[in-house]
Amino acid sequence: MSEEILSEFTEELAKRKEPVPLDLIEKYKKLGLPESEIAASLLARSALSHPEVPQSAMENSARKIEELSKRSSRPEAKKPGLRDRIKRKLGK
Amino acid sequence: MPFEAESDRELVSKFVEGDNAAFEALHRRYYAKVYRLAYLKTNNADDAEDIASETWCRAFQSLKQYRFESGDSVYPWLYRITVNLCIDLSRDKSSHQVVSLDAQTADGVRTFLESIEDTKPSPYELVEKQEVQQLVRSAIANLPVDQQEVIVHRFSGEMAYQEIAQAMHRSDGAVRSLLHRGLVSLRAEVLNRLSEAERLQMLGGKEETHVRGDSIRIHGRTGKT
Repeated sequence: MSEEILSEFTEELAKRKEPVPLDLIEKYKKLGLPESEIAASLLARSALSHPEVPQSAMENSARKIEELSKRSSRPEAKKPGLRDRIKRKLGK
Repeated sequence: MPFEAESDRELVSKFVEGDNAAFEALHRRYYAKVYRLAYLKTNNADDAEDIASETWCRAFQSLKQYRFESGDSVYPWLYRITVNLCIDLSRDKSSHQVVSLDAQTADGVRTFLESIEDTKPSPYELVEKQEVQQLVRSAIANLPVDQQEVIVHRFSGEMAYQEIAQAMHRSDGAVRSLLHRGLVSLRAEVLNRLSEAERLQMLGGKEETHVRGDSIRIHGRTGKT
């Protein structure tokens, strides 16, 4: 039973932005969810939504993808055939 | 921002058709989650940035071959790439962190896990404290792999139970039960860490206590008298 209520609580929690939604906590305490499980959920959510991601890290990553994207859209240079390679070696 | 309302499936199919802007939309959608997962596993900002960047490069190179087998989200796939890169990194490096808490915060965490309204400092302040978040991340990182995964999917990935069940190849009920066990273990892990650090400090007056590779330091309370 507690597992079901806990699942419901974490689903509702995901829709909320505030770190400690007191009304939600009260509602689920009344439904019989132990405070220890509510508290562990709040701590886990807060810990996993931090630290702040540095803007520069995201920009650097986006830049690398842009480079990969450019490289992948560039047509591969045609490999010279044997005749061309011999000609080039002979300087003709 | 274009594409923000589109599903992962729609974005992937646009990318497969050659629209690289669709990949950029996935990057915006999941970059922070990937970075934070890498941070959880490495506890180092530089390593987290490198791993997140490499994850996205690999995703870019292999997304065209990706097949949606479990759910409509690409997050479980990104999760796997990130975790595998973290495992490769940890073969070369052993991560070690120092979690430093003042005595009042340590007591606050303990109270919070019993009775939210009696918590001092206030529950808001406590949950937002960086050192508390660090302590909890360190405890999550030491949970059994399946418990860790379900907690990350639920609270960071914000995945629905059905999606988590598909990603972990378990039933919906098994996932709910695993999350329950995971949170019970998390609570126990946090409390054990605090008690162990405090007990050893009181006994030996040590400034720092090593707990499973991490250092927990509680200051502001007298040691051996």
